[in-house]
Amino acid sequence: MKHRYHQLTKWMKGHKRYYFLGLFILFTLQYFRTLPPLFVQHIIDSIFDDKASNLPIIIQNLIAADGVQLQLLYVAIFSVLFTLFRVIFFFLHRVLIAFFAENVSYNMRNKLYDHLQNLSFSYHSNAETGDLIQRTTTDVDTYRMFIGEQLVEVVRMTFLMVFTIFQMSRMHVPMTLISIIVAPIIFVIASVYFVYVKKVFKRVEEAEGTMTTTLQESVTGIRVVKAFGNERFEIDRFDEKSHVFRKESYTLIRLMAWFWGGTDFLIFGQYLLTASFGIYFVVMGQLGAGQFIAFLSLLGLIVWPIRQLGRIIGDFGKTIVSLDRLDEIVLTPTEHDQDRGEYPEIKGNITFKSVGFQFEDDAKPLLKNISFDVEAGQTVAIVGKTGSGKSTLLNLMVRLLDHQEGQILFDGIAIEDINKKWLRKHVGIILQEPFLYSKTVFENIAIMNQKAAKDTIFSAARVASVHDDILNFEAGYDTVVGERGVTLSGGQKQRVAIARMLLDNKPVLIFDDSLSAVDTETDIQIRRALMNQWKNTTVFIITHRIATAMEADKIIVLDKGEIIETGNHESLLRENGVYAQLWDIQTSIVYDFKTRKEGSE
Amino acid sequence: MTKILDKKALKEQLARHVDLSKSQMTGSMGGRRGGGPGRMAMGAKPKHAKETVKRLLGYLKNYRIAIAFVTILLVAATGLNLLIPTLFSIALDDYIIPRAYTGVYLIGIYVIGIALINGFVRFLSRFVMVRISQKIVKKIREQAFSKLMKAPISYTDKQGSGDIVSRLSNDVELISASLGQTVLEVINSLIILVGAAFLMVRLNWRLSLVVFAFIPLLAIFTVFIGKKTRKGFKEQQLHLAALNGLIEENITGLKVVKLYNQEPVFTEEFRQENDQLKKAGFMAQFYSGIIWPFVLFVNNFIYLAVIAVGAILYVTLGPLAVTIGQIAGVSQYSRQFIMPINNLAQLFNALMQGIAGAERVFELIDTDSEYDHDGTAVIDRFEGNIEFDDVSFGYSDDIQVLKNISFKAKQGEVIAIVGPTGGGKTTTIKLLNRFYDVNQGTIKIDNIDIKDIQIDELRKRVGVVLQDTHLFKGTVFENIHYGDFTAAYDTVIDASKMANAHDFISKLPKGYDTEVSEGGQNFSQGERQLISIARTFLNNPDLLILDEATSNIDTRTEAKIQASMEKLIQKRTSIVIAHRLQTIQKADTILVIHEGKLIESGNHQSLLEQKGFYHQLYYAQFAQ
Repeated sequence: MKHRYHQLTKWMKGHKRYYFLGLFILFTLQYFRTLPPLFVQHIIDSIFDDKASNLPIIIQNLIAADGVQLQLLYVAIFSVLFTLFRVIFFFLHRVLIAFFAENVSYNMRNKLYDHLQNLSFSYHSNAETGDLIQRTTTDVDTYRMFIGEQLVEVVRMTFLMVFTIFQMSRMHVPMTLISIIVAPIIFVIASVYFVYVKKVFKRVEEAEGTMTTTLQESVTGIRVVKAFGNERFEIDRFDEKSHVFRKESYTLIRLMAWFWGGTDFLIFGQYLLTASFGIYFVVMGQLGAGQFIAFLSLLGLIVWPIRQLGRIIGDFGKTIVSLDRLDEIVLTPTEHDQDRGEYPEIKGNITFKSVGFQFEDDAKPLLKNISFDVEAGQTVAIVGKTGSGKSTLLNLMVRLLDHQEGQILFDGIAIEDINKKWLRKHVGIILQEPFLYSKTVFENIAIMNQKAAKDTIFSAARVASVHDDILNFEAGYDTVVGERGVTLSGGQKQRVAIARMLLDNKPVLIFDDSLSAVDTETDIQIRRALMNQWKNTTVFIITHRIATAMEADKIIVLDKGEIIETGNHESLLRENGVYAQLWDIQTSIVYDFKTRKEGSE
Repeated sequence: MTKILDKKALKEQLARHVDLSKSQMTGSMGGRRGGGPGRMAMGAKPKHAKETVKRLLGYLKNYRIAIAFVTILLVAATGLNLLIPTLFSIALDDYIIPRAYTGVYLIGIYVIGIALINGFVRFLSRFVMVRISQKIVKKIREQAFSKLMKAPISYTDKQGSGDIVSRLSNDVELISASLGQTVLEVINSLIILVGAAFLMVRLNWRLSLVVFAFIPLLAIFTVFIGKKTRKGFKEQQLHLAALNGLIEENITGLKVVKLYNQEPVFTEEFRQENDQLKKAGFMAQFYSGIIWPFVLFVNNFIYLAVIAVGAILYVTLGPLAVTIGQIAGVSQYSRQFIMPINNLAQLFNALMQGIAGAERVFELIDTDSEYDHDGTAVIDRFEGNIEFDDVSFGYSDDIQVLKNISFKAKQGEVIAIVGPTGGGKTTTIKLLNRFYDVNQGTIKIDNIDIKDIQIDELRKRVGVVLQDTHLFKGTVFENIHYGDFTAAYDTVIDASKMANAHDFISKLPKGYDTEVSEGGQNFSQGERQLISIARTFLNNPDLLILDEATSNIDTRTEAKIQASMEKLIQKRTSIVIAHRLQTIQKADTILVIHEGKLIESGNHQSLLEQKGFYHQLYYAQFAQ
């Protein structure tokens, strides 16, 4: 319970006072809200009938006057001023709550975002992007709605009911009991209904979802549909989903109709009951006509909103779920929490000593007993099937993942003793699917060195053989890359990523199959240019192309997480193992029968 | 409004530019997008509102009795509801002030009775209308989908799948909302507006004038604030979308962010966007918070004005001019105006959106079906003699993608099409199964013009294996079965074995029952291709169109694909867009297509001897 309370309130830090002030105003307003029916009572009972007024004494004194007309005028003026006062404070209350809620969610989003950014790569490789986005937006918004609207509404209704019952009881106690008799019943019905209807809602949404998926698939796969002449099949399938959707919607509509209609009926029943008893009490002389009318209007303050109360309280569960999901993020330690910070000079001598790695929830290790030595300036090619552990190996070198067994040494220093950011600054990786930001091509290259001069950027692009491509774009270097760089071809993206890396001199450089979408010739061209510029850089190349691997000083063949062969091209061919086999296959099939000028698909 | 839209516009521009150059270069299947009607989403105005409304009314025809019934009931109930203030005024004048309370009770019962009737009618009318709208919308949706399936590929290519899906989901939803709710509410608001005015004037015309004096102020203000509020929420929505985009981009690119130590840059960017969202959110709340207090206050002010004027009238003209009951009655009527004035502007907007949505859906329904002028020849089997005779084609009238292509393929032959990307290779094969129709010339199979053959029959007999294959959501088995629904289980497995797909499928945890996710994303490109080859084996076509893979599929899968394609080719006339030397060398005829023209043809040896374009191409690519 205490935990829940903390969970609910911890995000409010720093702005609570606005909230409490807002809620306090709300409290006062609810009291004032119960007064207008009493003005009516005052007019009818006190002004016309000389009976007692139920208005608070202070107000009675304020509007006291001689003569019916003057009294009426005072009531009217006072009620307008009173309304003005209510309205202003209501507005103030809303602004306060809105200010509070927006600030809280602003802070939440910032905190979540910061935290997400600093979470380890292994966390992110297990998390789905869509899910994380949903947490930072939808879940935050769920909480915002909770503190900004739902909780406020519940508090408001509670206050209102308490004051309403209070005002009623000041007039006539038995009538009060009679007038609220149906409220608990409606509340229970509403609570049950909203739990149930949520399930039906979900079914409708699912039915709609399947229908839309079917639609989407039929549209994107229209060529296949037509190629096999299966239009009829698709139409029947869609009609079926459309039918299910309508059927589920009917259920929902029927349910909603029964609930709203039924509770309406109950509420009118309540009015009838109150009216009948009211008449009785008036005839008996226990109740004034004004009080009778006041009862009927006060009644409305309780019975109508109580239906919503069921829903709002039902929604509280959602908030808890959202907060749990947020806590899952925030309570995960970031990768920098325990980072040891040494900043040694990195030259590029790298040693792996029986290194092993395994994801916690995996049954099998991804890497086992990996050992090798690389001297500064050497080029190492890593060859192996998809899933053989090549990328894992690279991720260990930049500590996107942390190895569990053995040792990785950079110039004799254990990798875990080097500050992560420092390490990443000196080890450059070019990914197979390079990520370009939705910024201009220029900015995408300059990202590695914001201060780089135009010429530096151009020459980097030239080395990466992408300068001419860029100039061919409509806006040249100012061309904005689409979301995830969709408007560039795979080869162009890879080359931009290479250009980006060239801005900064790195002692260690890793190509993670990063020339796969570039044709063989451009591939060679780029690598030659690179080797010239960076003679002292240690280079790792992951590749499918044997033609690329063969030039390396050292070739490592990985299979199922283990090194099965090492050596150079000649020695490995002599071994006649897996590498030699791959060499055979690839030299007999020739790829890339394309024009040269394009160098991409 | 600003940032996202700019980005979007830029992106569209860019996409169009790239696409244009692409469609000329590659003519890749499915690459053509953009174009289509610009979707400025919100506030889109219908172009032919009248016709569209007429058509919608046509759908309502079958339900006219129910609708008439509901409308009459609704008018009656709302009318009764409007009597309540009059009843109050009577209660005050005739019973409360003379202290004859029994009458008050009677009126009380009337009021409750009216409320009950009103509640019931409202409930009934909404229920009936929602049901009717659901029925109609279902019909429209199914009509649209059916037409979509029957429309030629060029339609889907031109519109883009996003646009089409949106027509069938969002736009249909707009229609549904309009029919089910908006129309009723418009009717209701209008009745209240007119009825309240009428009854108020009847009750006391002098006092009504006071109310009428305030209405313009109220109307202007609510409409103004309403606009501000909507704009506020829209802005909030836009900033939220921008923020989502930022998070998505950063998280998908997180590896890069981390590797390049870019955290501070993105944190700053996020802060800024987040800040804007906060401000927009606050403003939206601010404006939406003004309405209620304002309306409440003006209401009360009108109340006061009515009472004041009433009092003056009473004093100067006496009880014949005004009664206390009338003052109360008129002031209550004045409240009835607020809601409809506030609502009507919005409702009208919603209605227009519904009509615009309907218009877009009808546009789809009115698209020509490619079956309208379907051929009549029914083919049992093709021998497999293909003839292109002087074929020219362009996606649009002004740009010819293929120019005067003529060639023949005899039964069982393999034709390899080679040439630079974008030269028209893919377009050539699109014509054979009539995804697109030639502009000039004829294509014949076994001496029959393909335009004379029933489209479905033609396509079933012409198998296509493309580079990027589409798998449907469902099991692996279902995906292969798609090639021939009549096939027995064992036949499907056999086809899969023929395609070299059986091995990897049986190794999957659930084998053939493994679920394929949307678009087949849980399978590698190579695996997807193997499945699609199995599908084609099952279909057992007489002619084949193959597009060899160029992208990097891993070596072993590639070899498997190659082997199964070779099996597929056997005994079938095949046209292959070739990338592999082996395929090219083995082909009976090689067609070299460049810039839309067939520039050379012959076998490998003879083409080399010609020392022409093919010779150049060959030495540039294959000879080391």
